[in-house]
Amino acid sequence: MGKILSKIFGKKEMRILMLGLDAAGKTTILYKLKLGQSVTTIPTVGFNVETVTWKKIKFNVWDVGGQDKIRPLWRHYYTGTQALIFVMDAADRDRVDEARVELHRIINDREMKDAIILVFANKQDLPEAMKPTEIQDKLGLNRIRDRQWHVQPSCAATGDGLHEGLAWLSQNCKV
Amino acid sequence: MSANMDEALMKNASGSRAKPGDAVEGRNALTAVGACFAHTTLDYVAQINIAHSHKDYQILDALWSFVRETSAFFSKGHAFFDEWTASDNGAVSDAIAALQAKTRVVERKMQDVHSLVPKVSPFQPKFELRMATSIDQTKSDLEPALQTVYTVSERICYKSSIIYYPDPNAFSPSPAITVLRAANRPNHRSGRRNRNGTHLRHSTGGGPFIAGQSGPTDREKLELQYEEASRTKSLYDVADSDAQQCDVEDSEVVMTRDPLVPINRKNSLSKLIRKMNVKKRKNKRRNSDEMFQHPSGMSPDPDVILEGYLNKRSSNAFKKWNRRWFQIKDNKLLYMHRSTENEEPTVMEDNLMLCLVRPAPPNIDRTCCFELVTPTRSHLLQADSESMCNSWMKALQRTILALHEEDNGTKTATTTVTQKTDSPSGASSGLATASETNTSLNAGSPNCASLAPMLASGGINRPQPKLMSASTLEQIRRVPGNDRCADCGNEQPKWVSINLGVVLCIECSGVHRSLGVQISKVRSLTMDSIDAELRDVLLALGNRQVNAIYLAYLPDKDVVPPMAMEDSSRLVREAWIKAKYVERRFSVKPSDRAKCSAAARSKQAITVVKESSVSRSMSYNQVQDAASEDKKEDDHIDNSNMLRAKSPEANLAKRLSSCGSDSNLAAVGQEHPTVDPVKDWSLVSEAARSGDILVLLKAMVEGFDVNTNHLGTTLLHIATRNGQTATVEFLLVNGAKINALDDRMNTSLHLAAIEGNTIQVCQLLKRFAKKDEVNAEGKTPLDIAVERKHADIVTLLRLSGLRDEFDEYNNPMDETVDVVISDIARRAASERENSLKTEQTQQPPAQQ
Repeated sequence: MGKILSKIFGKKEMRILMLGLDAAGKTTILYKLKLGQSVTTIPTVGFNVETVTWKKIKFNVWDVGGQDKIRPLWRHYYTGTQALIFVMDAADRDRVDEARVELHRIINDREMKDAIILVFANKQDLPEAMKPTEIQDKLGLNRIRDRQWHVQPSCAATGDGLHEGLAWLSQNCKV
Repeated sequence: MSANMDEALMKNASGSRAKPGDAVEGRNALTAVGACFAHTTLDYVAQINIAHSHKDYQILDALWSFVRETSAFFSKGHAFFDEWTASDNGAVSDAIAALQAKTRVVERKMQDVHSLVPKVSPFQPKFELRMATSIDQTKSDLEPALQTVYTVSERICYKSSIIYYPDPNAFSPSPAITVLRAANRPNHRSGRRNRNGTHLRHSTGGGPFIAGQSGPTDREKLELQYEEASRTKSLYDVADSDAQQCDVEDSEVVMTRDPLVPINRKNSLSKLIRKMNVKKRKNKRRNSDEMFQHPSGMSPDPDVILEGYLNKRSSNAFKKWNRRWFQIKDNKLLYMHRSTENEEPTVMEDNLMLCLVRPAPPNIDRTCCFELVTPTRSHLLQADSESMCNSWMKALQRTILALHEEDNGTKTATTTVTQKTDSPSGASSGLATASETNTSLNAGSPNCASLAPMLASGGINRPQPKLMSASTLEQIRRVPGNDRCADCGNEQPKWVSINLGVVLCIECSGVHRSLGVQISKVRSLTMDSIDAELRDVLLALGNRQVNAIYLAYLPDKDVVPPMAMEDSSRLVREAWIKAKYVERRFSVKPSDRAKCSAAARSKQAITVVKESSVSRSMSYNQVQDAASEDKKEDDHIDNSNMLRAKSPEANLAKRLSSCGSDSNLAAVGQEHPTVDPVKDWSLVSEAARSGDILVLLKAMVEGFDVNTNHLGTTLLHIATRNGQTATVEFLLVNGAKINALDDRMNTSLHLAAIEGNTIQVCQLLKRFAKKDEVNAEGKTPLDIAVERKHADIVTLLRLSGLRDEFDEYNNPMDETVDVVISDIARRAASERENSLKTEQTQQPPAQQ
């Protein structure tokens, strides 16, 4: 019923799962998008979910905590996910490889095979931040050919790049 | 009556948020009906109590007859003591069986007692009348205050009557309490209460039963008794606080059910006593409708964390609200209908770990609602009052948090096994060979036993949580100063900065995370797995020692910015933590700092002009700018800074810099007057050799660059060569460049291979050190290891190389290699320990 209505009125809805290593900036991104202001956060125990409406599209964004012992819980959120936002701390060079392993574990799950992949190379305001091309390379995204992916530089504190990311999602997601 | 109650509740629940008038009206009606309901229930329960006391006499009777039987038997036995045989024993057991049968009969009778209930209600109208007047009198009274008072007092009385009943002759409050408790629940629940009541009375031994004294319909008397009982009880509590303390604690434990929550005995006790006193004063104003308002919650079943009625919005299209009995039990949320007593509870959510609880969105037009969100569904639930709504949300949140923090190693293992079936079969061959290697490697080592079952089940998919993980938290907590947050003093810190070596509370960890990983790398002690190497680093540092360095020159008074306290706001914390770790304001002598800040101030004018609205650590930037300025004067130009300065955009990035790259840190250091590179080097290199992490930290805080290359070697090279595992880890988390070269073009990995330090090879590989670097002699680490016949190192390097060759995105080698690496590391560590031990045992004789 709701789906028919939304088709008639052209209202799109997307279920988005936002994952990444701990302290990548997932919650900050979520609330920057939701409230338009930068909030101070503490580590997420469990998850947050908010509906972000942007250009008449409703994004249902699920932000799940990223500590390593609770990463196995991520798979419970896969069902029905249309897009994955993978958030990277671009300044954390030590853990790029860890991030790569986690990213590939997620996108190789059967339930996630139809999801498009947006990578936020977050914390671009930091001097050591890696550039999108470097991240693309280090995350092994170049090997992925059958999927749509995009690396978007961002800074959650200022909001730079976040809406560009949403724009990419809305253009590339088949609803 | 029950129906009336329901109606009123429904009316109250459906009250719109937007129309406060309706809500008030609904609430009034509810209060009235509720009070009547409470009275009816009170009556009913009085009946039951009487029935009970009847039963108790029977039990006593049975006991007495048992005593007689036994005494008869013993006198007999005395007479025929020589002929004591099994047949006599049989007589006893027969007697016991007979008594058992008797008890069973009593029990059955007890069940029949319920049939009494419907007959009792002739006095009901009277109560209603009374109620109506009393409600008017006290409607605006301090209901919430009284309510909490009652909750607390009842909790104590209830609990203490079970556990602690020192004087059987004292007036027993327990049956009255039972009445009160039962009164808060609908009729059909009373069956369970009864059982509980029996339990209470049993604990009182042969004491007098007040319920027995009260007449069948003597409500007034009963009420009076309750009042008296609770007053006696409260006096008693105050007088006998020592003994009570354990009860208070007990009741607290039952209430929170969180083993990690500390129980501040004295506080809670004094608070309770205070509340008790308040209660005594207010006792006279007591009115029955408070009893009704009293939140339900504590259950006789120890597995149930919270239970009570909630309105649930149905998930179908009609969105009808239904009233159900909810329970939080076994990490599940259960609910059932009220009609049938023996109904199996329906599971609403079977794993609260995957749930989020929060206040209902504003578009819900009902009061006191909360939302339970799961990955697939969302439930709307409504409590009867604001306070109950809060207690439900708190209980759920506590459960969710506790679930996340408990060690879920076993769960991880099981989930990975199920995941494994999903993985493509093509990977399995590689996996199989790997696991064979793995098992063969295991065979020789005794402390890999725990890994064996996992291998047998074939579930190698995720690195197994470290063996020590259960005690890692405790071990780290035991380090001096680690019982409280390093920055604000909060109790029970569960977070850690792995490079600074301090343990933090969640609030401060949030601030640390906002500084960026170059300043602080935050991990959870409960939700992240801490490797053994890292654990050793954290054990070597700890809050007290690290604070001694970072707060070495803390002024006695007028600290600017003010120190963060447990209850400080986020802003205060941010200011304090930045000053402490980013500016390092208290880690240097004030006189030296004056020089620094003077230099910074001279630069400030320029910086301020450029300042943008975003700042992560502006004050640090000032220092940094000042530093780079000084450096230019010294003709020592940092290339990276120069490059950045060339483009305006990069310049912006520099200004917004949070907390410096390594080169920047070095810049601050070099500008620092206390640092004498040559003198420091001998000190620091000696520390790296001997594994004195504190000295290293101190040097780095004072500005020593961790990547300094002195006489063709770095600290990492020294530590690796000397097999200082914790030091290597410390240097790596503090920004040491893992692939740095010494004068012979050796990386640290080369040195580890030369020395045969297996643990260091593991450590470096885990952090993805380059394996194919060629040193001055044209050799890779693998060449060296082969040449020197270090079998484990060769295995490690080859396996790791193999993983890299699996250049597919679904890389099944990742985990296998991790498992093997950690396995070899563990073995190497134990060998090392053993050799150290033998050395120690051998040394003393040598010295003699």
